[in-house]
Amino acid sequence: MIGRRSLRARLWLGAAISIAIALVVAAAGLSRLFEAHVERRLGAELEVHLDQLVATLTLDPDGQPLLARSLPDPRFDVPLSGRYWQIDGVGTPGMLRSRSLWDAVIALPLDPLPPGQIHAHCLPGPDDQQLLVRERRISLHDADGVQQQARVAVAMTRAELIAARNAFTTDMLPYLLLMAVVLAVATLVQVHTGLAPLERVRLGVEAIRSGRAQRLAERYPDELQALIDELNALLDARARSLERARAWTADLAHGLKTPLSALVGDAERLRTRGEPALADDLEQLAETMRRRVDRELIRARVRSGGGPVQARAEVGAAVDALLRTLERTPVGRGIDWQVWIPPEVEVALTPDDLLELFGNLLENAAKWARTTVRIEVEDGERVSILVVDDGPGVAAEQCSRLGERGLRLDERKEGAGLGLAIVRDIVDAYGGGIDFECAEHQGLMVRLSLPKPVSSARA
Amino acid sequence: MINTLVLRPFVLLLLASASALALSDGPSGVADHDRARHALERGEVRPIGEILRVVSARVPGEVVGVEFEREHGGWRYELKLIAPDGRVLEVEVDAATGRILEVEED
Repeated sequence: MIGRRSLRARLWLGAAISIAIALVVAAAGLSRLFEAHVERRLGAELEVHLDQLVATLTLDPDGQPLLARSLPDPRFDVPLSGRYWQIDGVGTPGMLRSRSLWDAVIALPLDPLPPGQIHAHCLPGPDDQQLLVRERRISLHDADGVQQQARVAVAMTRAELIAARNAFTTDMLPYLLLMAVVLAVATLVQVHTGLAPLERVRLGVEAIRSGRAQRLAERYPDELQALIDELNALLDARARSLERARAWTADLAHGLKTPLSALVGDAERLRTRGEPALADDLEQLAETMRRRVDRELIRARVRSGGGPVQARAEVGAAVDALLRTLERTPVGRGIDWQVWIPPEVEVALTPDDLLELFGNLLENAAKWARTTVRIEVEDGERVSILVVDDGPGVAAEQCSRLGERGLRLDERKEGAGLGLAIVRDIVDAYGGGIDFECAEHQGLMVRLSLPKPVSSARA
Repeated sequence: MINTLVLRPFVLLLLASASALALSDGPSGVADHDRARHALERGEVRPIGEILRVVSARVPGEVVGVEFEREHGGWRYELKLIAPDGRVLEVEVDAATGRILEVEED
């Protein structure tokens, strides 16, 4: 369930399970190893006691087994202490026993032992204790030379072994926890580095959405490469269909331009035939249609089909490039350009359209300015742009007509009257706003507001 | 029970010397643990594990000495133990029933 929503959770779940299994296996295995090791050590100790017991065993004059002296380990004398010994005669189990066995006898199994071999047993002992037993068969000769068989056994309780193992496990616990922490940190690093390419994909897609890139970078880990290739193929296909739609719109628009020119010619002919009113009407209609066509041509460039690639262009760069060119032309030379543009202000226009917009705007300003043109850009919800010249300005009553195609308010200056009209077309096509502030003898102030590209919040 | 019998070395030394005496003890020259075994086999007494459990339930402490004697026609366990507060106690138990007969401070 959890893994379906998050790869990270899925990886963590897997790591947690495998870490837990590994640690449990390690704990169980190490305890087991330790127990086996301790059991070997205790067995060796029992064999030492066994040797000692055999060494102190003699036969009394009656031929009965007898300990020459008691064993040095005091635990053999304390009842139920956990350390025991016992000597069985033939048919007399428990002929001699350690005092620690008290009222109990170890029931040694009736397996036929070859002499000289030590047998290990696990047997029930006194008071329900489980015993580790080492046993061997010996034969002794009494004074008359009669051979006596005896089984000699030394035992200890398994509780000692269990206690040692439990103490070991308790001591081991902090190290297991430490190991769990180390493995968790390793998992953290692994998950982070393992998923990092996905974040790169996200950033790449975001760059495409916000118009800073066309495709995803080529190199990704093999596991992602197929996805990336598919994504790039999809983007390419979309770009191609967008291109087709643009070309189609452009063809349509260009196809309309020639008939419109013909229409203007027809209007001219009508006028010469004495139909000036009809000619004016026709001309007016043709002009409206042409402006519409021009606007659509720009729109086709901008956002035909609402493509994935968003237009973006930097204002400062465009103005800089234009000023470098303008300062070399007769119109722009000698003008004091006062530019105030904050760095990295972007607008949602294609760089070409932004250049055309500013080109016309600045050319117009330079044409009329006496000494100074001021350009101010302010970044806000939209980008507002102010272009002010110190030329003769425009009378207030003509102000509303600025930006009309072919309007030439001053016939002394050369030009086709297209500059501000193009500016207005571009601004309209991008959904911007344009505003003129007119006052005679104070120069012209053009105020634009342009949309900003959809900025990626986390980019 | 086992835990109370895992004894400190010096206690063990004391016990060793005590039990060396006990080995040679007894009216018939039979060691006390052999008498206990025979008594158990005849069904005259309860096993020592049971006796010790009864005592530890009633009189907490570390058992450091065990004696087995015949008194008034029955078997008695005389256990020496160190109470948690450090007092050394002697507990007399009826070996046939496990009943505590007497607890006295040494």
